[in-house]
Amino acid sequence: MGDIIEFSFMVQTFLELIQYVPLTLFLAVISMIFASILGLTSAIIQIRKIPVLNQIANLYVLLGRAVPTMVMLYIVYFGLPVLLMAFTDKTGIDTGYQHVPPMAFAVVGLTIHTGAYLSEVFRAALVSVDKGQMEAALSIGMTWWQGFQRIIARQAGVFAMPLLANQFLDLIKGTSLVFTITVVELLGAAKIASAEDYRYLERYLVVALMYWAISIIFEKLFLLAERKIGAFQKGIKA
Amino acid sequence: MGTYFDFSYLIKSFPTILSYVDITLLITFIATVIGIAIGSIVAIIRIYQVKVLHQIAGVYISFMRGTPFLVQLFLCYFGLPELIQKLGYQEIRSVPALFYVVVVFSLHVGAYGAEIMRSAILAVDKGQLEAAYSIGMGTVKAYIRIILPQAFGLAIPALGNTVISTLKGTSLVFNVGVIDMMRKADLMGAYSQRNLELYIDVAIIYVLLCFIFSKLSQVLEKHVYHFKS
Repeated sequence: MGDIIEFSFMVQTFLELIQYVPLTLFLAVISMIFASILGLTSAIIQIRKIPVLNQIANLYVLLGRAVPTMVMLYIVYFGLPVLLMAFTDKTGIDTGYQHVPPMAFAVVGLTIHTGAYLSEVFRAALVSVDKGQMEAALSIGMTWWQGFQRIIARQAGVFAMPLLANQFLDLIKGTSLVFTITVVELLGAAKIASAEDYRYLERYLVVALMYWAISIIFEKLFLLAERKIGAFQKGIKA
Repeated sequence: MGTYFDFSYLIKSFPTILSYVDITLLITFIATVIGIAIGSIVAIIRIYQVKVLHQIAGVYISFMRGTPFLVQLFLCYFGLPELIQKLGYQEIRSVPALFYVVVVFSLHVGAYGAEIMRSAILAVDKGQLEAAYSIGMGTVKAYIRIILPQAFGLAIPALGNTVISTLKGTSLVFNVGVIDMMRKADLMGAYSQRNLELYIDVAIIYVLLCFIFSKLSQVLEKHVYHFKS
């Protein structure tokens, strides 16, 4: 020992922990995809003010944003099996609730949490596009859906990109909570390893540096993507 | 339904869970006050580009925003005592967990607050500082009396958001052994096997707190606006 921080141990820890990075990223990406679908659906419902669904979407956005991620994960972790169990007992269809991997709960929990934030992001982005754009699209004979995907969504995308990037970075950081529901990811692996040799300082330092690096890399990537997506605007704005 | 979800248990255990709300509010309050102070100082360092400190502030903000809160908490709670012990102070183990929690939260709020305060200070008209100088105030006095009060007014909505996310962040402190609502729910759940109802109680409390805090922030914002006009 001798040294306060042993560098070779940190390198060794880094090599041990790097194999958990794909899992952390997988969790973040898959939750982001589901959350985008959920968020976009909720945003469109709110904008078109579809009765009943609109109220549900409002409530979802309100609760999803007010409940901490940790609480949300626990509610899903304890609540979903109960729901599935009730479903199985009522209908006789076997949902296999005893064998659901914890990973699935993690994804569901993170999706519900992030979806509520994304709903607000998408809503703001869609509202930011001038109303005349949709009217113009409709007037030249496009259907609402065509106008939405060809005209509105692209312009809204430019607006939403920085916010989406923020949300994704938050989500990556949020995945560090899922070890509490028994999914072994980056932080979980570090916690388990630390419980054996009590070398918290170096190991958590390595974990922190890894998350930091991941955040910085994705920040740069998103910046590039923003420029690419926004490229078409250069010709329009004079 | 009764076997799956016990509504009466949810109601019955609500007051017990609620009685642990004080620790949540205490952490939020202390972290907000210290965090905003740190944030303001860091913001001023960044604006004046003080040598060395400026770079340190940049790294500090980047680190705090780029790593998960839980990792910071673990690093501070498990790592810091190890470091201090290796330096030769053995009594460090007697420091309560709450101390580390408050330290990490303050630093966390400080990093987010620094960015908010920086833009708020820059948003205050330059003439204000010049006017303060012209009537003979020093830089420190001008900042404390003239610039910062106005900057706080501008920063209230953003700071309100940070306070709310801090409030939500307190749901993680049970991981280092602080007994808050989450820990209580966990303990009660181990006994009654009805974790879902207990965590829904916790969720209800957090939703109510978020609602109250966002209303407070709105009221404060209006109040400041009133004072300006």
